[in-house]
Amino acid sequence: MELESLNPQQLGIVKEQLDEEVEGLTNSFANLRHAVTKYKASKIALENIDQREILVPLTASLYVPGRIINPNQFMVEIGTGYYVEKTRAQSSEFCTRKMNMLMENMDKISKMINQKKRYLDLVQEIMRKKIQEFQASQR
Amino acid sequence: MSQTIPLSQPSSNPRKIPSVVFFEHVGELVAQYGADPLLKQLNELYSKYKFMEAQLQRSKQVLKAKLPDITNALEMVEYLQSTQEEIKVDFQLSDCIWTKAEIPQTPSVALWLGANVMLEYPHEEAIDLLRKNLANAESALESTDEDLKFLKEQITTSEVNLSRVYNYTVISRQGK
Repeated sequence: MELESLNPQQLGIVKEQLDEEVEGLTNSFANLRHAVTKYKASKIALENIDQREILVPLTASLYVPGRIINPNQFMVEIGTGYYVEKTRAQSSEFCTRKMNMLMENMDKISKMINQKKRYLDLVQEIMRKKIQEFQASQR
Repeated sequence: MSQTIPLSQPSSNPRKIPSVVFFEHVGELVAQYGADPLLKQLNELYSKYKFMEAQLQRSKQVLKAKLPDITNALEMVEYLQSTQEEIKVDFQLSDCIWTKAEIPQTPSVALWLGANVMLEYPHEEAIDLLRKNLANAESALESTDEDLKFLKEQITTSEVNLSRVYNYTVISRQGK
């Protein structure tokens, strides 16, 4: 895009667009990070399960003492509403794979954010120059 | 110093939210207090009502979310009390991991009361507590709804007052 040929008003519009895009990307980044944390927590939970007596949550505020029947068998949600039975090792591996995929996406997004920010800086620089030129020509 | 204009009065609302005074003659009011202080105080009152409305909306959301949880917990405890053998459940270990557990017959259950407090109760007491919580939540929701309706009326009356005073000032300025 030939930024030099745009007047300050059009540059302003481009700047606003870029601002919105950066905000959207930053939100997505935050969501991905949140999901990664959840999978990390799941992995830790998996590792700590054994046959000891635990307080089983039946609802968000109701707990009952109980025991895990099979500490090697878990049901993993692989998509919205789809559950698969997996062993402990398989579940842990699933979580790791999901985490890695999410972290890859996070990297991609952070690269895009940096690129947009650099573009934004460029647009602001050109805007400043244009305004200065305009003020100089007024004198 | 500007005087406080009597724009609101005590009302019959159970939570003592004041109601807005509806003025018959806007002209008298403007003559007595001056258009600017009048508009300023009317605006203040209006923002207070709006703020309260937003607050009540938020607490209504919270209550609405809590209600099904309490109902479920109540049903569970009643079921646990009625069943004679141990039961097998699938429970959520973490966000995407579920696992099976067996729950033997126990005389008591643990209830999370919030703020890092969990207490163990025998079935009967747990049922009582949950029933009470449910009743409280339901009546709180009802009174929040009532207040929201009341606030809506007051907000409309405030808006009417504001526009009448504003229009009066515009007309009287044109008249001059």
